[in-house]
Amino acid sequence: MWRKILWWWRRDREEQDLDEELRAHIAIEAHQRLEAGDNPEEAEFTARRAFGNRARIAEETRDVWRPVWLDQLRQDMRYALVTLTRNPGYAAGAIVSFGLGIGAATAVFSAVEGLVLNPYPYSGADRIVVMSQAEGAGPFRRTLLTSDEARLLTQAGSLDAVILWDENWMWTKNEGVPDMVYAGRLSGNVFQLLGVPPLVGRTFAGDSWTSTSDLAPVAVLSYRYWQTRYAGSANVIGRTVQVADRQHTIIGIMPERFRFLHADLYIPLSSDKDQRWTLLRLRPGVSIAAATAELRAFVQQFHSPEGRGGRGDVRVSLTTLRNDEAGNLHSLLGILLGAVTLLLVIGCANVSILLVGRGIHRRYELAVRLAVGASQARILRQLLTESLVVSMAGGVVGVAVAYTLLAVIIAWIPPGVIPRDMDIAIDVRVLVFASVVAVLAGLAAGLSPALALSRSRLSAGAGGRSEVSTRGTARTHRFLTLVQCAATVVLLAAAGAALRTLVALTTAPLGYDPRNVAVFGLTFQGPHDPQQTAGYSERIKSAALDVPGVESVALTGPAPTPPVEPRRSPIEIPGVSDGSEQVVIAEVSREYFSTIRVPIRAGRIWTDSEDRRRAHVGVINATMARGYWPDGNPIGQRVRLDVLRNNRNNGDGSMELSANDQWIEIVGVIGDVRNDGLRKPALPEVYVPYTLRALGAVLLLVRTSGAPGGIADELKRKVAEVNAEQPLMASSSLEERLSENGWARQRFAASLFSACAALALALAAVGIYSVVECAVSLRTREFALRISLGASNARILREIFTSAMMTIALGMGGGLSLVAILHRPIAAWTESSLWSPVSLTSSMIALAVVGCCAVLIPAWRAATMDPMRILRTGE
Amino acid sequence: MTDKLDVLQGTLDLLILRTLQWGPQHGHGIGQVIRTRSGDLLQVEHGSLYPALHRLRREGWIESEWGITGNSQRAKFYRLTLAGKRQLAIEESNWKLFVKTVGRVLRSQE
Repeated sequence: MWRKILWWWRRDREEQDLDEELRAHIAIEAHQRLEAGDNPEEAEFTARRAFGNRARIAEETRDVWRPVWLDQLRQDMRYALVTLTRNPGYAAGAIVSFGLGIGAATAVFSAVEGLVLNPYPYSGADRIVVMSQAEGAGPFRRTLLTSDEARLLTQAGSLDAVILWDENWMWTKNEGVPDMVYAGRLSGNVFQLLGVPPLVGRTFAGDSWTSTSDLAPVAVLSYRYWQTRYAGSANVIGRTVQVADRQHTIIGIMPERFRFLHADLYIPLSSDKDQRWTLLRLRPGVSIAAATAELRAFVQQFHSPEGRGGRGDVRVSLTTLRNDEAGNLHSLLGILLGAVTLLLVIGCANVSILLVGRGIHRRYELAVRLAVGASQARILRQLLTESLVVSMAGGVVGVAVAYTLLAVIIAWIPPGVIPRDMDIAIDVRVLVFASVVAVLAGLAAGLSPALALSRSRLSAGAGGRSEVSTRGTARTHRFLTLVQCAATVVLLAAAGAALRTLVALTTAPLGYDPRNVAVFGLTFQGPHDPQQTAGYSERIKSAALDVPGVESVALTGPAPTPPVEPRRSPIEIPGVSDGSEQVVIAEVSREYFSTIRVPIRAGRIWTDSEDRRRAHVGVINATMARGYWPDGNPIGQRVRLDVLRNNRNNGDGSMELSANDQWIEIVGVIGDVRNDGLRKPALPEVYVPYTLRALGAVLLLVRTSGAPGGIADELKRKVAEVNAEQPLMASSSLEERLSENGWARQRFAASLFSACAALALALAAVGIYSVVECAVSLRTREFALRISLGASNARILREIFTSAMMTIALGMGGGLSLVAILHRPIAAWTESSLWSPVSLTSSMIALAVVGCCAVLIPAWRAATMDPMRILRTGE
Repeated sequence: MTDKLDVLQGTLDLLILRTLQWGPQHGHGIGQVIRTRSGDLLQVEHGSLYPALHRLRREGWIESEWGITGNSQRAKFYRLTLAGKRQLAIEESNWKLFVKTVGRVLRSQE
C-alpha cells in the first residue's frame, strides 16, 4: 500500500526514468548498427524504426506500474475538464439539461412520495377511513355523527374505533392580551387511535366521547404552538391556558410531526347532541367493501328512528384517509409526474445529442490519438470519463435544483391543497435513483461516439470524413429530435389545459363582489347570553363603521365561499321534505347581503329589529327556491332546521338557546353564491340571523371605499375601545382568501405545467440547434464545394431548413398522436381536456417558431460561409 | 525475417528470468540474448518486453539499477532477486510439465 502511494508520489520521476530507459535502448541499438558499418544518420533512424512506437510502449509499460485506473482517471478528469472549459456552451448545455431533468424529477417524485405513499405519522394509518354518505341520487358528503350515533357505531364488528372531533377558533388570553387559538376538541380515544406518543407529558385518554360534560379541563399543545407561544419552555406542563371560558391545565406536548387538524392545542370534546366530524379505524384484515356493507345498515338506522322516515336509500362510501385527503392531489401529482418524466427524457436526449455531436467534431482528434499510440480501450475510457464528468456535474446541479424546487413547490402549495398533517422532504432514495438514471444515460450517450469511432477505425478519421457513420449519426439525431418535439407538444398541451382551467375559474361568476372587502376573525369569550351577544356585536359593528373609509360592516359565521365543506343541516319542509335532506346553513347579520353585494330576487332581508330580537326568519338562495318550490312561492313558507334544534352547550362559548320554536319563516330569496367551492354550482342554502345561534367565532366583513389595506390598525383600536379584552385577527381581503382557497391550487398547477413546458421548449431548442449545427458542420465541405460550383446560398439554406423542419413536423405529429392517446385516460383527472384546438394550435405554433429560430442560426451560418476558405483550409 | 516466431504468451517471463540468471542485463541486451540463443527464431517485441520487465520488477522478482555498458553507454540493468530465482525454478518446472503434457496430447493424436 505504502509503496503504491510512494509510486504515485514519485510518478513524474518514474516516467522520466522510463523514458530514459527506452532512449538508452535505442542508443545501444544505434551504436551496434554503427559498429556494423551503417552511416551515423541511417543507424539512428533504423534503430528508431526497429524499436517501434516509443510513446505507445511507454504507455503500455506505465500501465503495469501502479493503480493505473486511478492514474488514468486523474488524467482523464483533468483532460475532460480542459476540453469542457474550452467548450463552455456544450458543457453548460449538457449540465443544465441533466441538472434540470434530475432536479425536477427528484423534487416531484419526493412530493409524490410524501403525499401519496407515506403521508402520515399515525399508527395503522392505512386502516383509518373517512366515511361519506349520500341520500338518494345526491352527492356523497362526509358523514357527521353525534356522540350517541358514534357509540352505536362502535358495535359494528368491522370497526376498531370511532373518533369524533370538532375544530374551531377559540378565545384565549396570551400574557394578559386577548388572543385567538385554533383548538381541536377531540374525543378521548383520538390520541390512542392515532398512536403517536407525546413529546413531553401525557395525553388525555379513554373513550371519553361517551362521557358526560364534566371533563377534566386539560389541554395538549401542538409542537408549533409550544414553540411560538411558550418559546419551547420546559416548564409549561402543569401551567394553565385559558380556552373560551375555562382554564385548562397543560398536560402534554405533541411531537413536531403530529399535526392533526393543524390545531394549536387539543382539548377534550364533551358529549352532546351535536354532529361532529368523524374518522373510523377498521379492524385489521377487514376489507373496505365488507365494512361499507355493515356500516350502511347502521347509517340507515340513524336516519329512521326519530320518525324522520327517510327515503331509506342511503349509500355509504369509505375512503382511506390517504386517498381522501390526497385525493384532489393525486391527479395533479400523477400528471406532474408524467410531465417531469418527459422533461427528464428531453434532458437526456439533449445530452445524447450533444455528446454524439461532439464525438463527431472530435473524430479527427481521436483518430490522431489512436495513430500516435493510444489504445482503443484507453480512448473509450477517456470518452466515458468525459461523459461521467458531465453527468456528475449535472447531478450536483440536479441536487441543488431538487432542493430549491421542492422548497419552491412547498412554498407555493396553497394552504388547503395539501393535507395539513402531511410532511414533505427530499427523498434521498429518489435523488440517488434519478442521479443513477442520469449518469447511466450519460454513459450510454458517451459510449455511442466511442463505439462509432472504434468501428470507423483509423483511416476514416485521419484523412477524410467517414460517410457511413455520419448517416448513422444523422439517424440517431433525427430520432432524438423527434422524441423531444413530441414530448414538448404533450407538455405544452398540458400547460394549455391547466391555464384554460385557471382562466375558467377566475372568471367564473361568484354571485357576489369580493373586491374591497376586508375580513377579520373574532372570537367571543363566552359563555354569553345570546341577547347580550347581539348587543355586543352591534357595538362592535358600529365601532367598525366609525373607521374612515368603511362603507358597511357585516358579521357572518361561515365565509361566503368556505374553503372547506360548507356546514349543513337536515331540513324539514312540510309537504316537501321530511328532514332526510340537508341544506347549507349560514348565520349572518342582515348587512351581509349588501356588504358583499348579493342581489335580492324576491321578498326582503330581515330587519334590524328582527336581528336584535332573534326573530325566526330566514332567507334562501335561488337554487333552493327552484329546487323545493319549483312552481310556488317560497316566501311565507316555514322550514325547520336541525342545527337550531340541536344547539346545546358547545363548550366553545356558545350556550344553549331556549329555541322553543325551530321553525323559520322564509322572508326572501337572494341570488346564488358559490358556496361549495368555485367549480361546483351552488347548493341550496338557508341564511338565518346570526343571533339565533351563539357562535364562538365569527368573521367580520368590512367593505371599504378603496383597497382594504390600511384599516386593520384603526379597526383594532376602535374595537379595543368597546372591549379591551376582545381579540381581533386581521386576516386578509375576501379576494385574497378566494385566491388562496379557490384559485391557488389551479394557479399552482398552471404555473408548474407552464414551467415544465417552458423548460421543455428551451431544452428542445438547444437540442434542435445542436443537431442542425452538427449536421451542417459535417457537410461543410460539401456545401462549400456546391456553393463554389454555383449553388445559391438560398438553395443551401432551404435544403438544411427543410430537412430539419421535416423532423420537427414529424415530432409534432408524434406529439399530437400522443395527446390523442393520452387525453382520454387523463380527461378523468383534469377539468380541461388536453385535446383542445386552441391550446394544441398554439403549442404547435410555439414549437414551430422556436424550432425555426434554432434551425435558422446554424443554417444561415452554413449558407453564408466563404467556400474558398473552407475548401483551402479544409476546416 | 519472415519466419520468426512470436514469443508464446506467458513464456516471456520465463525467458527473461532465465536470461538474467547469467548476470545483470539491460532491456536491449535481454532481447538480443533471447534472439541469438534461439538461433534468431524468437523475436521479442519491445512492446511486450518493457511491460514484462516492469511487471517482473513490481512482483519483486527482479530489481533494476542504472549502469554503464561495455561500450560505455548508460543503460538500466536488471538483476534477478532471491524471489526471482525461486520463481524461475517454479516457472521452469511448469514449462517442462507443459511441454510434456502437450507432447503427450499430440502423440496420442497421431
